[in-house]
Amino acid sequence: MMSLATRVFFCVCMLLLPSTQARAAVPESVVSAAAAVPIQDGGRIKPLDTYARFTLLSFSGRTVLRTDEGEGKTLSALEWLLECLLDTATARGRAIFLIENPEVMESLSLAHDKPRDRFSYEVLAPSRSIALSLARQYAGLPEEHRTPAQKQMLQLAHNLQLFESLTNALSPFAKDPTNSALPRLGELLANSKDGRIDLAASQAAQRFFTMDHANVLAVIPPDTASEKPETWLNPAMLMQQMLAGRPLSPNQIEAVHALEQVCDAGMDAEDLTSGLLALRAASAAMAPTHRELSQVPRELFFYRMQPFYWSLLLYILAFLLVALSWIFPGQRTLYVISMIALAAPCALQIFGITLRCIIRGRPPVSTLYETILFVTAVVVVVALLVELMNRKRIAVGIGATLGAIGLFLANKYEAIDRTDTMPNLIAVLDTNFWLATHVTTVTMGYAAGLLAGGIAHVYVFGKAFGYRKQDAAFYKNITRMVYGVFCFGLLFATVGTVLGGIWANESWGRFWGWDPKENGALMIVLWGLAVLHARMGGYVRDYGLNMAAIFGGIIVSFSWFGVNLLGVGLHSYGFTSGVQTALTRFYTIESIVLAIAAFGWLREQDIVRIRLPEKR
Amino acid sequence: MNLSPSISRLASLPATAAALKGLRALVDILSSYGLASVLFLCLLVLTYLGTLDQVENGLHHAQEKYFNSFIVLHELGWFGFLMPGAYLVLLLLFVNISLGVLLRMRKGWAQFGMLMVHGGILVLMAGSFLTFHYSFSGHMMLFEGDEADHFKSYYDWEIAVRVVEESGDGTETILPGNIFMYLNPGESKRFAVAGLPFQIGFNDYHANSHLMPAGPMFTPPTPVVDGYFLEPLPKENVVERNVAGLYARIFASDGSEPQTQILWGLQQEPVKIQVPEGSWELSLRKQRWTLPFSLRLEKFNRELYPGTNMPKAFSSEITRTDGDIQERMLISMNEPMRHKGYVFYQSSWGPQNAAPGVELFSVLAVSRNPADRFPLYACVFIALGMTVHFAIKLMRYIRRTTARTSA
Repeated sequence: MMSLATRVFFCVCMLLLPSTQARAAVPESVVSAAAAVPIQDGGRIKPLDTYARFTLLSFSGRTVLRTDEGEGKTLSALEWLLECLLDTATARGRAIFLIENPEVMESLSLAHDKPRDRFSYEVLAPSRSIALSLARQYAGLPEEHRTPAQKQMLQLAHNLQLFESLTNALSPFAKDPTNSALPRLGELLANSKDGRIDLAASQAAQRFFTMDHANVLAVIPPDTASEKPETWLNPAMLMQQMLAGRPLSPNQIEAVHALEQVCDAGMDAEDLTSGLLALRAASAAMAPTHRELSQVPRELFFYRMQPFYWSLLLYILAFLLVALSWIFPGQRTLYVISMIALAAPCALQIFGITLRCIIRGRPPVSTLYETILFVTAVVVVVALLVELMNRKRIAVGIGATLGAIGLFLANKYEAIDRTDTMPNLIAVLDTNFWLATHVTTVTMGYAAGLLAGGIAHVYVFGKAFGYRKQDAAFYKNITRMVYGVFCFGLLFATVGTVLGGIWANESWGRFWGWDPKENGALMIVLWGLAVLHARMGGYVRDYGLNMAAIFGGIIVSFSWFGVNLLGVGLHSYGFTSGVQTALTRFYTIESIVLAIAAFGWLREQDIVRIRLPEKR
Repeated sequence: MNLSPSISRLASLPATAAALKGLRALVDILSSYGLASVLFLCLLVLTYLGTLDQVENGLHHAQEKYFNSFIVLHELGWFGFLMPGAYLVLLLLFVNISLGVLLRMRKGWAQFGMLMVHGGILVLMAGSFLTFHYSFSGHMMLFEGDEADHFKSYYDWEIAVRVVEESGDGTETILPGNIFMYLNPGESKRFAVAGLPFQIGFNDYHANSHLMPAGPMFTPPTPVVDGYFLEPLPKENVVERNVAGLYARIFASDGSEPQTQILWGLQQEPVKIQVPEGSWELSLRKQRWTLPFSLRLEKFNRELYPGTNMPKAFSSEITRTDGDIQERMLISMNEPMRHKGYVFYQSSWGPQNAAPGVELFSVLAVSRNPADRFPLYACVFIALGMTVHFAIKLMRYIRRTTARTSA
């Protein structure tokens, strides 16, 4: 059986692995030199690798590019970005623009045989002006009134322009294609005494006036000793600075030389590596004390390591081992191994979360994506603790299942949201004290609510399918676990909700404003209180408590994601359209489970009634 | 005098005994777990319905309908059902928890945690009651260099009547919004106000309206005054966006024909009226509260994330003048300033999307709430109480499990 489990595990790995294995189209030396080039994007400094990853994700919904050069051949996001910058003709032919709405394809007269497809820039180019004009029209509509097709068109138009900017980004540093004898920017700067060039006086510099300056790729830091975050220069801003007659510093001139070297190298590995390394050296010299810059290698390590991907695989393995330990209940070693197998991915996941905290210098939960990671970790930790106390092999199984589901959802959410998962926070959220207290406690409440609901499924299905029918202690035990975790969740949800109120009182001047997110948390608390009081009053017994825990899971999901879909209130920070489908499915499935539970309970009542005369 | 025999005699009377029995039954119900569960469920349903209602009708409507009310009529398609509003539910819950703690809860150290939790909940509810009835809040909008000793409501209106004096000063008489805002369509009311030499009547109040010039092509729905009329508009979901308007009629003491004027919330200049006793100015404006001190905005700081338009932080450097004492202080996000029972929060700024170089103003939210700190005390009680209680439970559970395992 062990070998069967191992085989299943490796099959699962083989199915999942290709998505992360990228073909080495560009030599490793170039990739590693380019990956760590720091770039300012979305108000923060990150590795070029992260920038490439989320840019490609926003274009194509994937972080790797499947090429049509052969079965299974792929390009990593960074390789694709280098291609955009240095080999634009090839980049224009890649099918990267994901359109998920047939209406959009039809309005752009695109031939399609699938409702969801990817198109290359070359294919889209003839419809470009239509896309841009429609997007301008839709941008004028209030956001809540835009249809999915209109939103998709807006995103497509934005992506087309971003792609054009990327393919143009290095043009100021490239040789003049019409006259390669003309002096280049670096030479002009080298001949100037004070880092200033008079563009108007220099005939050679005239081309910079007419150039389409790309407003992307902010890779040149401001050469100041300030530790305060400042705006980095992209090629357009560099040009503006020179046109305004402001001088470039020697380090910035070095960066210009490095970018010219990168342009000259094209796809030549040795020259390209040396150009990229020179660019990194120039950045480091200009912003040596910048905190975010010092985190670039760590962020690179985080994305290279993929802790959540490996945790997901290990959760699946842990579940298989737990399942084996159910089949062989006498095998204590197997049970211990399954516990360790669950603890390992959990530790890896916590390591990943900790890395993110260090990289961004803030508590573990500050975005909707991070709530998924944190809730999953808490679920598994609490499940392990319950298992240690209870040793019935139930909590460990539920922990592994929810761990895998949680990380799968995190992965899905990242693909739907298509934005940097470590963004800057709006002003009111940028407070580590309240993020560390209110947000973590309330999400721990979510975690416990979901775990209680998860364990309650074992009770409901066990009863429904007559599993260990005569073993009352087995079901009593499950109920005790559910009750404990339910109360644990209530504790954290209550404290978290009140802390949220205190935060609101400190920043907005009111403790409670009936904001949907506040209401969602309150609903979890009210449900918990109603159930506990009903239990104390004897209105709810074991079956009722398990059903209540499952319904509690539905309330948690409404509070966690559902209220964000309403599109009102102060907490609708996350872009969560697309989550609606998943949420509706969850509500439906859980309603069916509740119906099964209700049926089981009714059947149990009938059995009691039928058996009573027999006993007499 | 010994009353006991008479009381026991009274209790032995069948009617009194029945009344006592009824009272006992009522107390039993009011302190029951069942009632607590039902009330929590009612609050849950109200919270859910109120949350959904915000999407259609805005926060203010949802608050008034579901949370500040005694009774709610909830429409579900063609049907409507009555249910208790959150105000009533919370009152009952307060009684339920108080009686439950007094009569039902077992007394002893094992219950100490739960006692604290219930105490905390009662503090929280008492705080909500005080906040609901005795707090008020508004905002203050200041450009750099501006000084103010009052703040304005977000949505309540009032009418200021000011006598025009040659010196330019003039005492103001305030007519609160509740004397005109509940007027039904077509209804008018007339008031004699102490200190005013004329009577004033109001009619055709509209919570949201627009001042329009009357044209020859249509008949305005409301009276035309000096070529203008008030066009009623549907109420906005965001209640702060409503601009109120109404018609005022001035009845002078000499019995002359009453003067009709339109008062509208966005009028640039006050409406001038002339009566035999002198000149007066009327203006409809957001309700104001005067502070016992003043604030001057010295500098407004707005920091953006580099290379973006996303604000990282914003704060106001202010000088507070209270009598002879002047103090310089900073109000920033999550760091309010408290003084003499008033709290000032850095709320927002404007104009939004201002081009570089455009002068920005700072908006401070101001509130006066006698229960400002109640939630904090309640939170400490609840957190400590729950921790103690669940720790006791957990220890008991572990002890029992260990005993069973070793057995």
